[in-house]
Amino acid sequence: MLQYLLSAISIGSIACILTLGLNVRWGWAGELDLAFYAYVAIGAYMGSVIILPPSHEPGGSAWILGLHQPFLVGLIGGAISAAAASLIIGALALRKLRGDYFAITTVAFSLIITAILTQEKQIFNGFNGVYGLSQPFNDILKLDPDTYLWFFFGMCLVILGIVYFVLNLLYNSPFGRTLRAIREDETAAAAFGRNVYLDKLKAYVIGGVCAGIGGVLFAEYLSAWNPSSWATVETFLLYTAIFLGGQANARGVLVGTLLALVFVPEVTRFLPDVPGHPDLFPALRNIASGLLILGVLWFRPAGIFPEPRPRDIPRTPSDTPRVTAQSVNV
Amino acid sequence: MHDLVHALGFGLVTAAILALSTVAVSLQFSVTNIPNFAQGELMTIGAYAAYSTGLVVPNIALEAVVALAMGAIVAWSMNRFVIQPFARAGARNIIMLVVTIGLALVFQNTILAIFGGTEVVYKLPNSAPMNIGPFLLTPRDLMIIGAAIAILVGVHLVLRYTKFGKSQRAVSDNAELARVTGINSYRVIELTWLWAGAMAGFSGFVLAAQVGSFSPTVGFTFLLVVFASAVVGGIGQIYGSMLGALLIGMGMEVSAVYIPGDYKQSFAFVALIITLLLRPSGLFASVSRNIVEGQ
Repeated sequence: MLQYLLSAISIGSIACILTLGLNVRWGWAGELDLAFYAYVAIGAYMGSVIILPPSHEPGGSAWILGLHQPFLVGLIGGAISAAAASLIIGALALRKLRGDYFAITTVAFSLIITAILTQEKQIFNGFNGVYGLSQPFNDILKLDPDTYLWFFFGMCLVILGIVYFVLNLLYNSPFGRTLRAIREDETAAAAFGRNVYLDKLKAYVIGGVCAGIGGVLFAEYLSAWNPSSWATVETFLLYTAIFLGGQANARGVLVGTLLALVFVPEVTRFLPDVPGHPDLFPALRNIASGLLILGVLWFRPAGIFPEPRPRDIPRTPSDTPRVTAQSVNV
Repeated sequence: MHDLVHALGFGLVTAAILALSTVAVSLQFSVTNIPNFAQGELMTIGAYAAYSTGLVVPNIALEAVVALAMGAIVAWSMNRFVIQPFARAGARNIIMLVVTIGLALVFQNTILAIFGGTEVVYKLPNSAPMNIGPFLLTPRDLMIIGAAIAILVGVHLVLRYTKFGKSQRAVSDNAELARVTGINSYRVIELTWLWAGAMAGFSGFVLAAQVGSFSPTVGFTFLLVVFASAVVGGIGQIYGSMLGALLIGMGMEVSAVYIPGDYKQSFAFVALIITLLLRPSGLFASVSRNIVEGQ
């Protein structure tokens, strides 16, 4: 039971790194990015192939590189790769598109990346994926499996702490303020001399770094990387956590992640299986996610912990200053 | 060369299916200004409605009608009970997109919960392919193309010659102005959802008939291809959407001759991205819509 809890909260801390990263893109910059999990996949893959030795698959290479480097090198390499991919795609997609078209473009990019991951068997090893990752640092520590779970959890927690700390610094920096200004009113921010495109791109890349870090940890946790496990729907689930916890509020995002991505799935795991219907519980979980998004947006659009706002902005009765700006043509 | 001609024939069938759903998306988007991520699920609902009807009463016409009706009912209800309340509360456009994503999650997984994730087989009676002109098509393909043409002509007639079509075009051009001139834009929006849903449900039935076996993600995977045709043709331009569907449908099938078939959807996605970056109002646009920020 303890082991189970440990692995659940390890996964939870990794998920927190991911949602914090996505929150930079959506919460701070206001860009609805639906390709986030593609960057997680890229980071996880690149991290894995940097850590792993060259593959010994019969009949040609199954994965590239195989540098056999220590874990930390892989972590940094994964983060850089995801950031580089974010830079390229962000530079294209963020140029001038309106929010909803930007979202559609990111889905298109993420589906293209998914197609490449599953099709290029020479690089991504088809359905087998990349496997055989050893436990980080355990070649030095030589811990037994039970104690190692504690170590792994601690490591995830430390990395989460660092990510949280750095993002908090950024949030309160002039750059963070500029991003929020852009989110609220792009034209006004541009009129005050801000380079809207560049700042949005920075936010996108910062999100990509978090995606890469979370991806490498995720691959290490599973000790494998599989091309088929990065569906677009996973990004939607991350959004559920962010909306629930409170957009642009780091503490809220952490709580939302623990509730939506750890508590709900882990509790439903204990429900009895229905014979002959293996998809029932995943389906119910996703229905719950969808309803949660709708419910939160309707009843508490700012989430459980709304973003703290400067005093000089008057609060509207509906508690949704962000929603009123451009209403839909109805 | 032979392959290419055949691919063009398959492209016609794909384009016919795409055209139905693209025109539905385009109509609904231009009138409501909401990109509907649940559109793919409306197609899935149509596909499963046809499949379930076929289990009880195997009759193609009935299956098609049930698919159409289910699409219409679900689309109307999602507008009535979810989209409209949010719109009235003043939700921003991007929040509406998230709302439709939430709905898509609910719809897709409800179908998954009911029917399971394994593919269901939906076979219409079919006979051997025939040579029609240079193309190799089955009677079922011809039926699909014929139905698509009939419906698209119907859409054209309604938009062009009925009062409803006129008010719909007015709301799509400028909702405020339409309201000022006394058009009940709320009613137009409601009917548009009903209509777009019916077309989506029907195209789901057609898609199901063409692919033969499908799972609850069938519509969602098709959704971005539909968005691609809509964007290439120009969002809100009904005739542009038809052309966009033709281009994307043909392009996908022809590209499969030269690149691995698994990438044929990627052709559509690349076309979508390139169009949005270079010519965001679509290939055939005469007026530019508010796609680029700050316009």
